[in-house]
Parts: sequence; structure tokens; C-alpha cells
Amino acid sequence: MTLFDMKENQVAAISEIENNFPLSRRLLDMGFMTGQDIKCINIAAFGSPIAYNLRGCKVALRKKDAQRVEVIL
Amino acid sequence: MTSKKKVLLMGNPNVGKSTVFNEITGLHQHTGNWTGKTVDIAKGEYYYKFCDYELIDLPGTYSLLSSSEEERLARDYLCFEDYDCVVCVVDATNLLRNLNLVIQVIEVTDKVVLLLNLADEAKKKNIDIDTDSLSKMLGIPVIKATARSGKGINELLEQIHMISNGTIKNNPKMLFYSNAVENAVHKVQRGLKCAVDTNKSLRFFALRLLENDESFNKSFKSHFGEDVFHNGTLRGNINLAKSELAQLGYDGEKYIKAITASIFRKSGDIVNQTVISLPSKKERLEKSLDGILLGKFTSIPVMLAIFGVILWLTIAGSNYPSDLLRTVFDSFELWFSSALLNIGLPYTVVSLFVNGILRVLLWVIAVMLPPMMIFFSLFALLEDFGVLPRVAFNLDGAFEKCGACGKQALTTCMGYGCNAVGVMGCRIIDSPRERLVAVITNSLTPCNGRFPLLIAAISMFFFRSSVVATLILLTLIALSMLMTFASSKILTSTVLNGVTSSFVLELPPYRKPKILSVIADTIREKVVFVLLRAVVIAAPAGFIIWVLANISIADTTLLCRISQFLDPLGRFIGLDGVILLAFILGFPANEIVMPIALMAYLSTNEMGDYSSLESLKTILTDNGWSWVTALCTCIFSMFHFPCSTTLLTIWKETKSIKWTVLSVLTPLLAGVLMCAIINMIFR
Repeated sequence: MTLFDMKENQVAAISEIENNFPLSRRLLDMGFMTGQDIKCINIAAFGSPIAYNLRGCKVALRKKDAQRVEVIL
Repeated sequence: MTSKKKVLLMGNPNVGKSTVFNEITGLHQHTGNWTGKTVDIAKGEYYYKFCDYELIDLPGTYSLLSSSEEERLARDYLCFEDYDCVVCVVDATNLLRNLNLVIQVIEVTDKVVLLLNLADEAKKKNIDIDTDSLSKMLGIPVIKATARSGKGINELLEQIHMISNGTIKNNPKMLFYSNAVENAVHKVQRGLKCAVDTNKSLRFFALRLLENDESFNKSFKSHFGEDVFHNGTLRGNINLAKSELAQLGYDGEKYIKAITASIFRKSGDIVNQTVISLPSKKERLEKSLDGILLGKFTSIPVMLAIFGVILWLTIAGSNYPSDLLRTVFDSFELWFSSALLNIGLPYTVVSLFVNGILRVLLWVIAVMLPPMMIFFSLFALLEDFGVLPRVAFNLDGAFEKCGACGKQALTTCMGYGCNAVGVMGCRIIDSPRERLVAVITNSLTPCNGRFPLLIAAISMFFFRSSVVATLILLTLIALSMLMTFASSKILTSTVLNGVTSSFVLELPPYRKPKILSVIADTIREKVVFVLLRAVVIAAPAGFIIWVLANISIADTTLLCRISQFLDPLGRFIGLDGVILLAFILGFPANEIVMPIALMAYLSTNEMGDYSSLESLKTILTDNGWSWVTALCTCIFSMFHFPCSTTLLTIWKETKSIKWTVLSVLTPLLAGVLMCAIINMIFR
């Protein structure tokens, strides 16, 4: 499953991040890496973006970007 | 006498770096609770213990490995410029995130001080940091501070002083990546020793060169010379190290992933050993606040309510100061014109100067100043508190569907206060394409200057009860939002076609705003700036309006002649020549549209005010106004060309005639079409 499939308040571990899309480097800098725990905290009213808690920070990703990060529950 | 010492200020975005800067230099720079506020490098000076210092505030960066423009700028400054000390400002409430940068900075230089800012908030959140062991683990001095109240700043200045004059020498503890990476780094470092001359640590250069990051290689070459890679030892060692790394599985993307993972692991280790954090009330409060502000069902209504209150406070609250200013200005005008007449100036000259230029000028100031102050102060308070990124979060979905950026929601909201400020605000949007969409569509949002006309027209021609009038006003606002979405969609699927950008939106922790400084900043940054621009245009416009109203050909003023000429066009869109002319002459500011129309209807030759809505309605109906005219006037007021101040700002921001023209055409076309249709149906 991907980050986008997570429900609110679910916690998962990142298993893979798609290589070489515009955001991949930026995500890496923010701590999106294999094995990292991530929690889905809020899904916006329109279904996108989705806010996650990662290493104590809240960051929001749009649907198409969230779908590029694989997670394991 | 030694020369000025240079001190760099670095840190993640939104950690209060600018507050530290202000606190030390006394220079004021706006500090918003918004990522990426400092785009340019701010410089300030201070004096400490008989030494002159220059403080350089670099853009906020999460790491030195990244690709964004600001981060590159900060990295290049740190790597290639000369300085005497680096202050790493970190957010004490989130050390985990912030330490990454620190770990990288100490790879470049040993002249580093760590400033744990926001120590008061950390305390409130029950976060306890052991600064001594943190300092030992990193090998650099660590200072706890609360820059907002100046706590810890003196200690910081002393540390900077000692580091920059060499009294203390740090011995930073480098991160050990892995045997493979370290071997490669040593090889490249040996090559670097032969090729370049620098006082920085070679370790960071080696790590980057192994990564083969194009932007770093470019900066490296531009600093050490185009032919630096022609040095045989350096090139040979890099190639050898790379091929060895590749054999061990560290090639391309894998190398940088491994490097980053090591850095994150290290910061995790440090935090585990130095930070104790217990659950706190503030954290729970933040969570429940987010539950409401970001909640599926609550977010939109709550946001609308907040916005409604701001709008109401602005409209209701600015009446009194506006009236007061007008009374003061009126008596000043009287006194001034009689003074001018007394010294013997001819009447026409005095009238041109006072009733023409001065009156329009003062009018614009009186009607613009109070609402702008109220609106933007409230807006800045929300910004400081941390609400604005959440507004962007809530509305991004809708803007994404129109191919635009969620931050456009914010620039649109700013447009309700003043379109010129809204247009300037578009700088927060990173993608140039999406920024243009936001700039062009901003004038579709009715600004404060148009509300008086809208409110007067609605209450005269539709409903007397304030509740119904408010509802109609809200419908009109909803219409403007709809138009914003529609034209964004049209723009992004035609002239501004492209792939919607990816973006990470950070939701910062809530912070208590500093009310007084927010208000002072708002006045200095937004209000004065916009007023100055408005004044530049209002004065010549006042001159033109006076000339048109006072020069007659065959007993008819130019104003009347032009409005007669415009009449057929005006009637076509449900207005008449006078209103159309008033809109054109109202180019300097939307507020003066109604006064100009009255001046033409009453064939007076100076701009005047109306005493009551009742008398205004009589004047208008005598001149053929019906409810259709009123409706079309409202619509046209919302959708016509941007006012001169906004247009000037659009040009300054885009530097392109094409986009400036499109910014005129987009709302104008929308307004003309809508008015023509309404006119055809109802007349």
C-alpha cells in the first residue's frame, strides 16, 4: 500500500520511495526514508492533500505524491 | 583596528532565525510563521566588545544536500565565502528534525555555535534538553535561548566573539558514515589537498564530489576555477573512489540515500541521549486545535467563519476612523485653499490644486488607510499564529483541481484586503506557472475599496434589512470565488498549460503571536508601501479628473461629453456612460468610483460626498437607475480592470507586458460578459 491508502491516525513504516520524481530529493531531506515510521494525521476535506507526522513534524503531501511512497503497516 | 567580523546565521525554515537577527541587529525584518520567508540574504551590523560584526541571515534550509534555490544559496555561502563564525539556529521543540543540518554544517567548518531557540516553548511542551551532553556529542558550544524575549542573546554574542577571535577552538565530532564511504572520502580529500586552497574542512567537499551533484560541481568549479577537475590527482582519486564505491553497491541514488540515512540515524541517536520529552498539555491542545482546523467537516465552516469575522471587523471598524480622517482632511482643505487665495494665487490654480489633486489624494488615503490597517494586522496575526498554512492545506484540493497551488487560497484572501498586497503575496508560490495564475486571477477578488460601493448599491436597491443585504453580499463573494476557480482552470488549460507541481506543505506548530510587533510590521511593510504607490497615481489622476470636470466646450464639460460618448457602450452592459466613465477615472482607486459618478450626475465640477443613502438613491433613480443597473454596477465593480496600484504591482512582479495585459483582460472580459448577459435577460 502507499501513503495515500492510509487512514487517519494509522501508523506505518516507509518501505520504498519512487526514485527521481521532482519531490524525491526533498522528501529524502525531510526524513522520508526506508524504515521510518510515519503517521497519517489529517485528510483534507477535498481528499487531498494529506497531513502526516514524521519525526515530529507535520507535512502535507498531495495525492499524486503520496501515492509514490510505499508503506507497510 | 581589525576589519569587520562576518557571522552567518543558518537554520531550518521557521525556527525564529529572523527573530534572532532582529534581536541582535535591531533591524526589523518580518518574521512570519511561514516556511521560506527569507528569500534574499539579509545583512545587518552590530558592535560587541570593541569589535564590528556583520550578521548575514541565510535563507532557511533543511539540509545542505538539497536542490531548491534557497538551499543552494545557503550551501554555497557556507562552503565558499569567508566568515568568522556560523550560528546554527535550531528549534528546541524539534531537535530531531533540526540536527540534520547541524551535522552537515560541522562537516564544513568548525567555527559553529548551536543556538537552541524557542527554549520557552520547549519547556511548555515538557521537552528537556541536556545542553552539556549535546555540546559534547557535537563538539561545539550549545546555548539555550528565547530570542523573542532576548534571553540567551548575550551569551550567544560572547560565544561568537570567542570563536571569531580564536579564544576557543571547537573540535566537532564528525559523523562516521561507513568504512566504504570513509575510504572514498579520504581518497578524494587527498586529491583536494593538491587541487584547491581553502580554509574549510575538505570532508564536506569530498562527500559532495562523490555524489556527483551537478549544482555543487558547478559552484565548486566557479569558485576554484573551471579547470579544477583537470588536476590529475583530484580527478584520478575521485574516479577511483567512485568506482570502488560502485563495486560495493553505493552507486548513484543509493549513495545519497545511504548518506542521508546515516545523518538521520545520527541525529536520532543524539536526540535519544540528550532529550527527554513528556506528553504535555500544549501538545494535546495543538492536537485538538488541528482536529478542528483541519477536520473533514469542521475545517471549511470554521475557516469561513474566521474570514467572515475579519471582513466584518474591517468593514465595521474602519468606518469611524475613515470618517474622522475625512473630517480632518476637509477642514484642512478649506484652511489650505483660503490660505492659498490669501497669498494671492488665482482661483483656478487653487481649485485645480486643492479641489482636484489634493482632494483625490486625501480621499484615497482616508478610505484606504483604516481598512488596510485593520485587515492586514488581523491577517498577520493569523499568519504568526500558524493558521495560514492550514488554510492552504484545506483549500489545496480545490486549487489542485484547477491546476493551481493551494497557497493561492492565501493570496486570494489577501486580495480581499488589497489586490496589490495579494499580488505581492504570490511570491510564496514556488512554481512560476502557478504563481502567474495567482497573480492574474487576484483582481477577481473584490478588495476593501470596492465594498462600500457594493454595500451601498445592495442596500439601496435590494433589501433594507441588513441580514438579507449581508446574504447578498456573501453571494457576490461566492461568485468571485467561483470566478477565481473558473479562470484559474481556464488559464491552466490554455496559456499557462503545464504539469501541476509537486509540493510539500509544512504545517508549523502554533505560536503565540507578538501582537504589537505584528501590527508595526504590517504598517511598515504593507500599508505604507501600498499608500505610497496609490499616492503616486492618485495625484495625476486628480489632475485629470479636475480638468475634465472644469473645461467646457460649448457649455458642456469634457466630463459630460465623454460620458455621452461612452453611453451606448455603457448601456450595452447594463450601466450608462457616466458609470463607465467613473470606473475608468476610478482607475487610481476603486473607492472614488461612486464620488466621480455623482460629480457627473450633478454636473458639479468637484468631487463631493453624499449625505445619506436615501438622497443618493433619489439622485440615482432620477438618472435612470433601476435594480438591473445596480446589479450590473456591483458585478462590474467586482470584475473590471485592476486598479492602478495593483497593475503597477503586477508589472513589477511579472516584469512582463504580456501577463500584465492578461491580468487586465481576464477580469474585464468576465465582467463585460456577465453584465451584458444580465442586461439582455432583464431589460
